[in-house]
Amino acid sequence: MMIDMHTHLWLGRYEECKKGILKACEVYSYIKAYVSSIPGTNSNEAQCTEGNDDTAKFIKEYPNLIGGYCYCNPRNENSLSELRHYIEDCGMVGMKLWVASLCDDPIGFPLIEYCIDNKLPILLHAFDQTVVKNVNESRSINVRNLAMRYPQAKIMMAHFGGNERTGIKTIEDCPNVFVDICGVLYRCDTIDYTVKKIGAGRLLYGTDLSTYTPMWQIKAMVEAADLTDEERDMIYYKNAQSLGL
Amino acid sequence: MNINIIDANCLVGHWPFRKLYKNTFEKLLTTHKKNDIGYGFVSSIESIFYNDPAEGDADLLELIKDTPYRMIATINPLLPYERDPKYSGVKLFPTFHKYKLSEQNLNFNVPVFISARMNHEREDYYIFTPPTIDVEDVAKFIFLHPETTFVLLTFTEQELNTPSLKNVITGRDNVYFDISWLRYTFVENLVATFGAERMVYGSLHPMLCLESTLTTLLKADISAEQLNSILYKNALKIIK
Repeated sequence: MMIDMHTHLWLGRYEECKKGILKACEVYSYIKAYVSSIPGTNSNEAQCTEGNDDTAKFIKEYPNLIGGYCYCNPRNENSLSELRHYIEDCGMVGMKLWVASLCDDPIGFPLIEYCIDNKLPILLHAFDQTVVKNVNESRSINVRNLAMRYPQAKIMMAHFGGNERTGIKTIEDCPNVFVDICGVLYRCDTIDYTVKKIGAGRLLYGTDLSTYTPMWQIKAMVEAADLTDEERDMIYYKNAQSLGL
Repeated sequence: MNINIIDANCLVGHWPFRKLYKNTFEKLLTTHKKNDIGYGFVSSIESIFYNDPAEGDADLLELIKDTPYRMIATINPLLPYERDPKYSGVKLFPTFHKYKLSEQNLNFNVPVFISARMNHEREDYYIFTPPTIDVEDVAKFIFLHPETTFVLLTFTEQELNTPSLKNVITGRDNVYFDISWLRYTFVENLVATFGAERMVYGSLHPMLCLESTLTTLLKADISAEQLNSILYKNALKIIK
């Protein structure tokens, strides 16, 4: 059994992305895939709405297979009402933040507090980059800051934080931070290192899928790691279930 | 699977910027065996960084003696280097060693492996950020050596499709590339563009997860003949 807790619908490419995600569901017999839209780096209110409408449409078409997170740009004035609408009226079960603002920027705190009040997991993009730097791209230290400020928040830090050797160490003592395993190179020892640092109980299986097919490589990475069957099951679906997904 | 796969891009040794968990020759053997890989063209990670790369190469040669593994020597043309007849090929790292291939007086009578990268630039260490590969320079270098067999390692699909590089790959029968860096791309696209006869399986083990790179290939929608060419037949043409 597998739950893919990190997939995307890119704005304007609904059918193409949907096809890729459904293919993954079929190939790996996913019991659920969680989707969020990516409407652009600094998406305005209309773009966020269009993207979230796509997610809502996908959920409606495949209610048993597809779950969704509401994508929010905290800089948009309507972001809280948008979040409330898609959670309360469209059946979404979490929130996704990308690179519109740092995740520990106070501008996003009302959104975080809404998620805490409603026990919703929050998927945070984070990447400890060496060379490229978007000033609004969160790093693992930003995730840590947020987790420390809001220990009740259910945080899912994407991509091992970009580089597990820095990202995992940074959030090691934040039990409310889970980590997903997609979006980085298939490094030989990434999962082994992460499990050694924080155990298998905080890892989540995700692919970052849309039109690409990295699912095979990611699953192969989990299979190749020195894990027990129980630890693999935790990564594949049990940890996601413990978050309410 | 009952095929004797050849891994055209594997390494042994210590990477200076993170601990590798499966970087010994023994671990390479175990991983290869587990995945039905018969042997590989192996080089030393240490040799990339040593002032005398031959020291790292000698250590590796000792480890692989009495095995079918083929030794690929690491050459930095900016440093003195040796031509040991025990080496089946040479590997060049123009980005790490910061030189233009076409400006070097290099002539080898063994296959030449050109490595574009070992790590994603986003994950480089702060004190060591190699430049990206100069594809035009690589194409020029290959063009200048028509008799030499080349294997391009860890190039992206975009780099391979640069017109100058694409021309030298498709225009010759002695230029190959490995599939280790094909992260988001389809093997099928490259087979259609370049032909399976130009491609070899390379894992970049122990930097990358071998099972992930191998799965990329095994899941591709290509014919059994094309798959076998990439898995081992082309490698046998490069180094018998």
